[in-house]
Amino acid sequence: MMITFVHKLISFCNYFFFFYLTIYALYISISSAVGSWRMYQYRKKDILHNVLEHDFYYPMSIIVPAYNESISIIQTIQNLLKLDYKKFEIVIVDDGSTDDTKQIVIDHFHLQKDEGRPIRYAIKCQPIHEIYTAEKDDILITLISKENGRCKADATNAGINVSQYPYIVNMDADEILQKDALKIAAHLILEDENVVGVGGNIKMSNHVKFKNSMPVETELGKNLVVDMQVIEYGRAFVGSRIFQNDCNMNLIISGGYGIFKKSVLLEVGGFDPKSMGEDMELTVRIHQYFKKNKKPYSMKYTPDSVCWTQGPQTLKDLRKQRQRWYCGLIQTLFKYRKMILNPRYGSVGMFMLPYVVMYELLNPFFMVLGWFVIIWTIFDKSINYPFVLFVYLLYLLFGILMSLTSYIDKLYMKKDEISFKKIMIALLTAIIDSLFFRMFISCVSLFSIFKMKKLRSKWESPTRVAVNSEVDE
Amino acid sequence: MGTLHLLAILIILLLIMYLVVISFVLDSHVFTIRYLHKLTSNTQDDVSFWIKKKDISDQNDHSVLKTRDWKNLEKAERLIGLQKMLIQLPPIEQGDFLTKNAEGMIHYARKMNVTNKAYFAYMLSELSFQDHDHTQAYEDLLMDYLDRSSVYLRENTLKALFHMSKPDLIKEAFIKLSRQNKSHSEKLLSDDLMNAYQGDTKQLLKELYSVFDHLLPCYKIAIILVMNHTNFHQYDQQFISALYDQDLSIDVKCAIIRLLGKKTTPENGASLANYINQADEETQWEGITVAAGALGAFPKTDDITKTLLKALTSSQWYIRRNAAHSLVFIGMSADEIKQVENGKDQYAKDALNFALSRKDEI
Repeated sequence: MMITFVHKLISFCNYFFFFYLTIYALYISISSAVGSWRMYQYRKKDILHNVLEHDFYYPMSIIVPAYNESISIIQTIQNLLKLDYKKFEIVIVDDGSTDDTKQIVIDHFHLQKDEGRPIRYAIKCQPIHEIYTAEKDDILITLISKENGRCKADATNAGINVSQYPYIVNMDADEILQKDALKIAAHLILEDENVVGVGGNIKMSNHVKFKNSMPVETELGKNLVVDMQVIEYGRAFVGSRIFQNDCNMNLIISGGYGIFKKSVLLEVGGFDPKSMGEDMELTVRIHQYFKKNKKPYSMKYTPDSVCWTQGPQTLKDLRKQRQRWYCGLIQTLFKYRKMILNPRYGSVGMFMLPYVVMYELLNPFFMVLGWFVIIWTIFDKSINYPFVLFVYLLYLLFGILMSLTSYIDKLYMKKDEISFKKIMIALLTAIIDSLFFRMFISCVSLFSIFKMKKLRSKWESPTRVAVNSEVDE
Repeated sequence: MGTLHLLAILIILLLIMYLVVISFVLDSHVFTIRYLHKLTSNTQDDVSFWIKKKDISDQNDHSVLKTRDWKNLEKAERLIGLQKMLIQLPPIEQGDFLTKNAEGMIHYARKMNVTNKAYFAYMLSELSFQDHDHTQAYEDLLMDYLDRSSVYLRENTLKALFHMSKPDLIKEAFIKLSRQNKSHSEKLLSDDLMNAYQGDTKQLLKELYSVFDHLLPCYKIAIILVMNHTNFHQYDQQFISALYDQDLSIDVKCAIIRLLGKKTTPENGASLANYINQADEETQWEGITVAAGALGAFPKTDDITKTLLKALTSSQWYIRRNAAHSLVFIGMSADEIKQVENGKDQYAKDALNFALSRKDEI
């Protein structure tokens, strides 16, 4: 009876995996094709003056939460000061660092303490102890020193409370915001008055040389772990996000770089300090809020507004990062489970959330199921080796081509360059990515469930290195 | 053939199909990149094409290109070539060319796709219409362009209309867009108006004000922004009354307040103070905030001081903050400061103390 049950299970799995993989391949193909087509249209529109050429700006507050960021914080601020944008302020939030992050910033920029400054705690956060300010090149730099909130979300909320401008840019303390990033993002807000959030393109800054916040040399081939993330980010940000943007069903405006209308953040209560994936949690919450209240809104994505981030350089750091992301995914999907397959939430509820459940949340489990099926059929001697190998190779080829397509979409990016050598390295990386990297990520995700309690609400930063960046004083 | 075999074949066929699609996408990059490169840098052939056509037509009496030549406008590269050719001509020749070839050009300009239409409108915004009496066909075309929903087409079309510098035309465009419920960024509108319009701005503002009530808030705000920029205060009294109109958008009211705040007469100061005292804080807090900030530029009067001291005790953070800044700007006597210090409202004290500590920076 047991054997019969297993046979029936295997048979069911065959049908299941057929539909599972078909839908996946269909979605990836469509989103990739749409992504490439849109990139082409963006460039063509630029050339044909289908742009809003204007010196206009929306004042923005750039919030930089920092916990033990003494290595990179000064460089980050110096790069921000070089932004080509008319009006913005920089708000550094020192979240109770145990190193000398706060003092380094005070000394370097000659900040003065604001005595008796009233603080409006519009969003809940841990108490703010001190505020320091100074102006450099007509840009206000504010340093907040606060009680440790144990997470980036709490620090960002404190920054929002102290900010003075109507748009909030959140980013990490080790990132380089490209010089023209805010200008490009502001155009999206100018085009559509209903825009409440804008997501940008996140790229790996490892082994990239910068000058005045612009990349002058991008390198592949120095670190395989980084290169695989370059390929992966290309797939995600170009392949998928553009398509999701068209249907207003972006589920993540990245915590690494995102712009939000401050009034909306105040309405929805800011970032959730209990969430491990606070960026996705906030984005889904915004979708829920506007759909529930039937207010018009859109959240946009632009691949030309770029922020460079330091990615994990070792498998150990990568594992920690992905564990946290996966736990954040579980938390968010569980919290907003009522939105899944709920027509009230439009394409987000009916398509995107179920897709994420099936292809990101449950993917590691299906991988285990797939291995079980293969191992059983080997022992059962019912496996068709040529067929299995053939399908596997076809999917491998499919995955490689997808990655390569997304990478080559760089040809459409503004100020991005590509060479034959880089394409070859990208191809090699895409092969390793398909063979090894994705399976590694799935395994890491699977085992992270057991670590969820330990990982909850804790600042986790990979090993920092100084970025190769020159800034003209 | 068993079900499983069928399934297996289907999987393989599907995968092969996906591979073909992805390969096509990859291949298409080659063509699209080449095409984009051609559009950006390789348009000399297209410019020469139009120069040749113009030279041939100049040899006939009417200097008119053949209708079939205009069919080329359907191609983006030819369109760019035309723009580059025309921009090289002196203004008189530009106007002459546009007038004489209106029929052929406009016929195909109506048939283009939206992206090319936006470029055509952009081209018109850069060219010179010397003879303003013969621009009707282009005006009609541009007004028809406003029916489309593309924000880029709308932007370029409005620029072209502003460039033609006819108040009636601009008025008509704003009314049309308002009727169709099509908003446009007020900042873009006001800046484009100020940059592109070459006629009498005061006359334009009078014409636009005559239809003010029929416009969407964004067009109203744009008009007020232009008034603000050009120090046009002819309608201040009417705007003061409008502040009490319940149906008027708060964004328009804020723009009005900024306009009134620029002319620091006792009348305007009293009007703003009156607005702060009478407006409902729940629904009008943004307007009260802006008004409280604007009062800082006025000469000190008892009325203004009293209003700001009262605003300092508002339940709204931003009203308190702006009132505190304005009080510091206009200057406070020792008694007035003491009055706040001895009061029971801690928030008011905090706001004022902080504003006083930042006096030099404010």
